[in-house]
Amino acid sequence: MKQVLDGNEAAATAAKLARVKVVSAYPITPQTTIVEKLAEFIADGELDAEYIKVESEHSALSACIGAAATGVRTFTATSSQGLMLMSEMLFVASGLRLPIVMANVNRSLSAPLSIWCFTKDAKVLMGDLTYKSISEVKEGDAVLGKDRNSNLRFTKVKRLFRRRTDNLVELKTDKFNLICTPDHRFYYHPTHEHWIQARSLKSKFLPWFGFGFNDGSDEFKRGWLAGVADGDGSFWWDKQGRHTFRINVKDEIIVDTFVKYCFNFGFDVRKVNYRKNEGLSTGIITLTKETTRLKKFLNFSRNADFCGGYLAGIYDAEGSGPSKVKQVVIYNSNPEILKKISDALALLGIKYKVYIDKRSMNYHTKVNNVPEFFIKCRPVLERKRNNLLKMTIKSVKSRLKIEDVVPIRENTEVYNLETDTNNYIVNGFLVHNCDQQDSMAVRDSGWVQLYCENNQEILDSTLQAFRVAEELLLPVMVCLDGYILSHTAEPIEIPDQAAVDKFLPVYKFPYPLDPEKPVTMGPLGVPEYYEEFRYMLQEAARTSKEKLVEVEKEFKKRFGRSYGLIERYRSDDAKVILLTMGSLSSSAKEVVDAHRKRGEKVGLVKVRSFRPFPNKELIEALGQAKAVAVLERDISLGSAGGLFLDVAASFINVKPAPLMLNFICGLAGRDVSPIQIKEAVQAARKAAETGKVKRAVRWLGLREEVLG
Amino acid sequence: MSLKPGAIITEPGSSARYETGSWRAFKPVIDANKCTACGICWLYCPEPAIIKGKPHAVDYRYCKGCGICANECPFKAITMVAEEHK
Amino acid sequence: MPYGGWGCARKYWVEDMKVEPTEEELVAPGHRACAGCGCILAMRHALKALGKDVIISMATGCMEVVTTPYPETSWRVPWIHVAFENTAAVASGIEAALKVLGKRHVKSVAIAGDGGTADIGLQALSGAIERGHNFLYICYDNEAYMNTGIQRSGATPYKAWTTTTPIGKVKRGEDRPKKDMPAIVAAHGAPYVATASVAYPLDFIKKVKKAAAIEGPTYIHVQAPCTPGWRIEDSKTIEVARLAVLTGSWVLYEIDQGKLNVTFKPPKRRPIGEYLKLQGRFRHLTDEDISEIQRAVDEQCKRFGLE
Repeated sequence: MKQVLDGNEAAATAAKLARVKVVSAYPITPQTTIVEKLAEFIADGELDAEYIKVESEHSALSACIGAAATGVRTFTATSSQGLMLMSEMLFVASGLRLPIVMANVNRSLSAPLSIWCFTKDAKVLMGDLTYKSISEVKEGDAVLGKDRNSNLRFTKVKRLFRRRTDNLVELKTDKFNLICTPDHRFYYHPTHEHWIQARSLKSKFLPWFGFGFNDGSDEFKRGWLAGVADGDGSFWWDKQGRHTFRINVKDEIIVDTFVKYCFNFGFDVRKVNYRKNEGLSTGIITLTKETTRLKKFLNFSRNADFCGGYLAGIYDAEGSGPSKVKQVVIYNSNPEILKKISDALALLGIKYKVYIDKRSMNYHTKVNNVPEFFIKCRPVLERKRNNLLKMTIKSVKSRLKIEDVVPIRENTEVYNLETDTNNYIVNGFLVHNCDQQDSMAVRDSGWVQLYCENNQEILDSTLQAFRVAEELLLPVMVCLDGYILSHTAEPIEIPDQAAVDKFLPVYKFPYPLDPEKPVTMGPLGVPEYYEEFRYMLQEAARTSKEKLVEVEKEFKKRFGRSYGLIERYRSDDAKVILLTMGSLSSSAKEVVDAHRKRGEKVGLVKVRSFRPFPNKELIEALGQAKAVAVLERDISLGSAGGLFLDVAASFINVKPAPLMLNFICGLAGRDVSPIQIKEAVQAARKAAETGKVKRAVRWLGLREEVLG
Repeated sequence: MSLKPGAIITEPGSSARYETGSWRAFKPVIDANKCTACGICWLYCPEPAIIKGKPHAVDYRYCKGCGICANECPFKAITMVAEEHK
Repeated sequence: MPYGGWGCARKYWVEDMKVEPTEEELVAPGHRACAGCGCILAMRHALKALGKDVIISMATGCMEVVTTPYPETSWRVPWIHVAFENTAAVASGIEAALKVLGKRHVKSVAIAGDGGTADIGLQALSGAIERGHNFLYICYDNEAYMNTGIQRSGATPYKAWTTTTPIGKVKRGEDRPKKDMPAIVAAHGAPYVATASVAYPLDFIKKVKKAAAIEGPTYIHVQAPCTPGWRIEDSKTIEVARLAVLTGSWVLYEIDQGKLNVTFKPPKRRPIGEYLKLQGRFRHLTDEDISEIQRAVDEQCKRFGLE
């Protein structure tokens, strides 16, 4: 049966199909939906299990250990910080040889979240495109941010932070001053995804969304009325010499707002419904005196608020986009109105172009810098406002110069927000709210680690994990990239329960805790025996490879899919091979395709099982290449990337061995763009040609000139 | 002895193989005439190293010579005597 | 004549329950506890009350270390040790598994020392009680981190010597009062909370049986002296524990569904000096110190309705 699920739902569904009996997990972004989904399954009776609502991740794994030792199938899930909190228990679980399965949603480790803050007069751009003081933002509010693919999107505020500090800097611009902590990161360069710390911002031109317009003012409202009237309304003198005004629109809310604003200004517009069956709402004024008065009232004025409102109004009425074309387009050929539009845009400093369609002689006014337009001329219609989400961060064309950065040493109250996308907009600048760095820290814990590339793989790997764990008596961790896989949905094939029951027999633990046959688990490990136990554990961990292959074979027979310990993508005759793990593999595969189209022999090997490390398989897959570029989203601080270290060690006594380069990328919440991957390929090709590697460990996308 | 995975111990109470009697410096001696078999010494012995009976007896395999029994016996039937060194 | 004599043990357990400690020893001898250890005695008594249908989860600590030196174990019931701070969480997992397996006659019992309960283990305990698991939690209280060498814990009494609250020129002993764990657990709304002492084994056994019989989170806090840690003679363990009760320093009570019931009222409350002078860890106390402690004990007794 096919269903559209995101990565988290896939993991939860797999646990349900495996008929786990005890679930004990603690919520943490971005794993929360796994826990919530399982709770739903249990609450609806779809999964017959005990759900322990533990009070921390450490307790979550502890409870799993207790339950698994007593003799039932268990499941838990966590991410980054939670994984670190339960790391003590990871080692105990493998030491006790308990077959626990865990889903780990890779979210890189944080520096403490609350380090980067603003003072309370910093204004945050909310989801409705108004600005609100950061101190007034509440949990659950929607703010504007960008996702990992640079698309603008609304993101929820997950947490608020407040503290006091005296280590601040003031950023001075010619429009406003902003006070924040010196290492707060601001978005700087659209094409290379660079975030720079506040202290290094002097004389830099930052992408700027726009700020400082009062759209609640009367002038703005007046401008809006004028815009709507010019767009969808009409003033005319009828045959009897009466001056009438009428406005016809599809969106009832425009008429309602029009009526409301007019009422505030002392005009009585009547809302009528006689074109309701055509789907139109209408507002009219029939009294001549009133109409004339209104027309005069809506005279064009050259001030910022009026112009902003005017453009908002005309966009609400007649504008369109961005949709497929990433621009705001206003279709209006009336030369008077065109002039007004142009004047307004010029006054507000928004770049625009007027196109003339020669055949129909229609004039289109097009604006590329949609975010700036929407913020300065905030549309009333929410559905039109949400068109902003079709834009990416690259559409922010305006720049604001930071004139000076001045340190401030007064003890002040400061605030920060944690959002889903880990960024938000303050005073028109895009800022980051936490550092992200993948963690390989628990690779020594004795757990089998599988890294998944897509949601189908997550579901299948989780099902396989139970079988592998229970036959090997080793716990298994199924890793999926947070935000990328956990939150994106794809159609997945879900096996039916009967088939899974045949694949996963009833849980059997050889020596469960049972009063009929009392055993002692977790005794004091005296030196006489400890080394032997660790050897036994290492043997189990090392030979889990064979078990994984065996289980996959059976899985393929029953369900038709298998993934292998590694995946070789167009690498058999490649001279340069990229080595990746997880969802990074998808982007890398596209780069490989691009190179292959040009006839270059480039390939990709994806590592799925990181523990046990597939050294034999990698030697076979990489041996004939001239150079291997290992790209990974982590670094073992003080050494090199974890994957690189293990691959390099595999080749230590082997000939022939390719030259190897390590590329640390995708840290600090950055996307790894195809350009960066191409850089890696180029470096590897150079090494292959010259036979030499100058620097084995490099970073992709690093701006060396801003390093402190 | 073959090691079980996870260092699991499947023989309950196997510590009985280790005779802690070798620890003591003083050993309790029960005076059969004074002992009324009330059970207080048996109740309070931490090992336990008292065998119930008429009179109660000391299980010298495990007795560590702490002296609680002698201190608690309401009839003063137990005396602590220096252990002879073997 | 030992103070109070054997009569105290029998005279005050009465009420309606017939509590005769069983002959069966579910904690085997041969364990590596110190001579005169009060805690292992508490284990022995507790298991007499519980019987064989239990699964014990224990914290790292004296009892875990002395009873399971690989490949030997003193336990004749299923037993698991995981870590120091998560005994209640492990017990929660065991309880969930037992529910799933339908083994209603088996009880999940968590045992930890005062360190693993009042300090590092408090979070797990709080969570487990709040979730309402059907388990019994026994805290054996020797009033310091004894396993690692007598460092203070939240349960170390006022003015006691420990290695981290030594007697020096400026600071003399523990300067904080003992954490009231039973009150904390009672505040969570646990259906049964009780204090006990190794010197009153029948009272302890009865309370354990009662607590184990209740379906829900129950808690027993048993004070058990430590001969090296309290600096007492090996043979004085029971005497010291009894004096703690007779001087009103340790009150034996139970909170049954929120109702307080003192299970043992000392006939004539002895001055606290009699309890303190037997212990080397209080040897440094001046008369002023002792009066201060006496005042605190008096106040405590007033709260419990003891003269």
